[in-house]
Amino acid sequence: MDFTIPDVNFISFAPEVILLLFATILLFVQSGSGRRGVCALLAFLALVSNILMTPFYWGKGIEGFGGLIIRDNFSIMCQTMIIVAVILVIVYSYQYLVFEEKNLGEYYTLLLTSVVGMNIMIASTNLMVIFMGMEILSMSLYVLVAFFKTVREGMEASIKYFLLGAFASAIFLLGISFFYGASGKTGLDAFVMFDATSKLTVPFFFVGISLIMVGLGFKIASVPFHMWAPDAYEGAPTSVASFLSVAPKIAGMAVIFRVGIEMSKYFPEVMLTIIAFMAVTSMIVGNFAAMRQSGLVRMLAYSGIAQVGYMMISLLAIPQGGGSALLFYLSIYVLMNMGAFGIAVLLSKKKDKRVQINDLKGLAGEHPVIAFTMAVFMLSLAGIPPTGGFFAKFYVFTHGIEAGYLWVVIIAVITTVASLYYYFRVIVFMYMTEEEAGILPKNIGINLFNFALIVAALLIIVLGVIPGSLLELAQQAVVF
Amino acid sequence: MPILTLIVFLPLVGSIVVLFNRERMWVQTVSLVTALLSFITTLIPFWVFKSDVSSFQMQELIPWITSLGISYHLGIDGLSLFLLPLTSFLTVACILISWNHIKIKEQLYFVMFLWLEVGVLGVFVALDVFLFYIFWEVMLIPMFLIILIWGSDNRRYAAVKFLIYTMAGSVFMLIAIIVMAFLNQNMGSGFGFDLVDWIKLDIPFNLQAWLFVAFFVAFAIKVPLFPFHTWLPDAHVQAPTAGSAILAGILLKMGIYGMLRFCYPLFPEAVVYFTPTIIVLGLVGVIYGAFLAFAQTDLKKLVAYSSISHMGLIVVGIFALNATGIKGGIIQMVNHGLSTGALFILVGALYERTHTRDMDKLGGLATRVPVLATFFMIIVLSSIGLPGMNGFVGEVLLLLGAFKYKWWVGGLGATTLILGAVYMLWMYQRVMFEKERSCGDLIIHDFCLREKIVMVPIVLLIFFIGLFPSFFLDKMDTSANKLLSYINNSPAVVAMVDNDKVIK
Repeated sequence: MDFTIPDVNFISFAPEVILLLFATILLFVQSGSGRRGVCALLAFLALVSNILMTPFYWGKGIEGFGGLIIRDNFSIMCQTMIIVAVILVIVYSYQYLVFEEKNLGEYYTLLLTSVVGMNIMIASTNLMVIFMGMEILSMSLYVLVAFFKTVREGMEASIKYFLLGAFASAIFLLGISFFYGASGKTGLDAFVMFDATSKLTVPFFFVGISLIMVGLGFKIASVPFHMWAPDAYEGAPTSVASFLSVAPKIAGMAVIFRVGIEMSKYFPEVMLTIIAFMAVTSMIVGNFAAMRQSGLVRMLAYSGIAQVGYMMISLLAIPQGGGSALLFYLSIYVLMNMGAFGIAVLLSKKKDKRVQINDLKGLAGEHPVIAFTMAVFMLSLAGIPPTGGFFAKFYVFTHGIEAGYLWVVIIAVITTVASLYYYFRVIVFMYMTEEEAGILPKNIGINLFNFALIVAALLIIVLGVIPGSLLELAQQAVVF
Repeated sequence: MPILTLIVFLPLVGSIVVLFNRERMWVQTVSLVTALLSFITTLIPFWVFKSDVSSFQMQELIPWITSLGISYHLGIDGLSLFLLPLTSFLTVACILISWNHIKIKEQLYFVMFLWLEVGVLGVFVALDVFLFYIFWEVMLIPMFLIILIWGSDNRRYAAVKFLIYTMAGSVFMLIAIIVMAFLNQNMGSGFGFDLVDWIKLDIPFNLQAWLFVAFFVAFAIKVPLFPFHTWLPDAHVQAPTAGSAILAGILLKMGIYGMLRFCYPLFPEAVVYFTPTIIVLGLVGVIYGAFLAFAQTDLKKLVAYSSISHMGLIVVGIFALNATGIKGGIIQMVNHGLSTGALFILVGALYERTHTRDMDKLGGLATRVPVLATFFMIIVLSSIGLPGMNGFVGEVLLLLGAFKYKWWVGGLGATTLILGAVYMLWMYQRVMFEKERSCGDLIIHDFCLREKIVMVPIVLLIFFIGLFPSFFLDKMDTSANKLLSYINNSPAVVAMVDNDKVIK
């Protein structure tokens, strides 16, 4: 039997190796006072080193493991977004986990391993490898959600998330089996085999793809697989919830995009039906459910579901270059959603109970800068110019119309108008009422946290006014 | 020298300077100086403007987002020429009248007014439709916050209603804008948003109709045309005085401006097709608004409904499809901005003094506040169109236009003269003369110097427009004829005219 050593290209997974290295080091950091900064710094260094490596990978299309890992521009861009998100999570965690001295090393280890999982998901076109990445991600997340072992809601959320997540993984795996059974391959390049001659196996293949979409739909919290999201976000530590609402969605969308590219070449109508259904229901359910929430995190959870709906419109236009719209939307989404969750983290660290929208009362009076950043995040989520959120929506709608899905875009704008109600409610609370009993201390001063929020808000405005360069990057990234 | 850029972004620069210091004096002075400078810059175009050139003037064109064909394209013509100084003038007035009356978040208040000015000026000069849309939406946020933070008791409801109404109209316009960009790709010079390119397109009628409706509804909500008017009374009543003044004075004009700027040149056949419907809606607005105004006891509501009535007449005039009506519409925009803005300022001044806007509680004020009463009289007369004042010029031109279209349209439109006089003079008589509801011992101060400074230029302008209308009309002649030529040269209209000839 011939055995050839597979073509392992170390360069192709050097970033993940570095992350794992730091993750291992973090495991050995003993808990105790003063270690808070060390842990955060180590995790931060790991991520920054990753970002510094991206220019060397850009445009080279490095492959490893005989093509199982592909570092094309698309995966580099998605990975960079995730790293930006996780850097923000670290900034939040550093401030948020003041009262939790135990197990800080593990916390950051799990953050880094989840990044490894997502990187693998994004950088592969082989379903088995994608599944492996997804499991690394999920395992880390299950533990992170339950990080506060003493908080009852946290445990409940974690169990719920774990059970549903495990179920979704199983379905995903079942989908891969069907896929493999019909095509004899696990790579997404299996599509090429299907032409008019293989009618017999095509139904099995479709079943496989549908099940795979179910598994991914769970990861991105798209309707009808969204039930876990609000509970898990609310039960989890708020800094983890911010992570949960952004990073896995990027990874999931990236995989859906890769599946979508192949599907739209060979079986466009099946894929488009699934995507259109998920997009429309996510927009409707997400937006209308968000209106009824009084908890800030729950509201943001439903708003995140709605945002996924908007992103999926771009997947309807993959042949017309919808991928660039997806990437642009995701880039802005990272900033605006992480920013909004940042405010939730800021408010929740002073209180045991869950942050309510009421808690934002009078924020503008005492903390005009923080209120301003929150207003920018809300305006951007609502898609009001001159924020990046507006241009992202505009660009997505343009692609939706180009692909001939005018009806989906019309539903999207109607739900956008509906969404104004709850996004602006936050602004109403911040600006209209005077603060009664300040949740935040009078003078927080300038710290890393505020600084991160201000930078995010300014970036959103800058990207809304001059989106040209990011747009070009996104357009380059989807040229394969 | 990019004068238009300077005009649009000067208030933004000023607003940043305002943020440097929280002191009351600093905030007020810097805002006022910015607004005055802005007013001076908006007068510059009068010198540069050539009234015999039909294309856009003072154009500035810089590529912005090249891969989507979006550019930073500004320019003005006879339509926008007068709206710029009107905007900056009313902003100065608004800053002056809110001088000492803002008790909370004063810094934010003045910054919001300056941002609002940026948005509105941008709307009036943008020639790239994407840019136009950005300005159109940007201006919502300051207005929303002005109503929300500094309004009266029910301000939250009014602000959210204003926001959602306006957005609901404009998102459909956004879809139409994107569709237009694709049409430009298919039929013209590539994917792009430049209005000048769009005008050259020859769009099939069925598509024109849909696109026209999407654009028109967005503008009609802003005007507000009956039956899209229900947000207006709420917004006006709840907004602070300066907010009402700027809302009535400028924001409503953006709707009319949009109709003339976009609907006319882009969808001429659809304009002709929908004209009867729109004129009927406009007439309903004229009469219904007037009757509603008559039924109010709240002064602000009365002025708000009179606004609906007057704006309805402007819509009738500009859709009468002749040059007289269009010119009347443009000049009446300025007139209405001045007189309704001034009316809201006066009502606000009364409210400050008597703490009520209820006509059942007001009376006999003429002897107590003679100067205020005099100004009030002049503005009321201007609003009902007394000859020699600005309102007369506008209304006569609008009605002439309407008569030219159909005699009965002109006839029904003319009821505005009678109805307007009825409710305005009736209101004036009750508030100023009938002494049985006099406020008793309450000490009421007359106008102070600052308020006089606000009112005197308005009154001067009212007489200037009324006595020398040709100064304004000459400058808009070319543009009005240009707008009309889009309609008259469209194939459908030519065919209709030919049919008429055959029948005769």
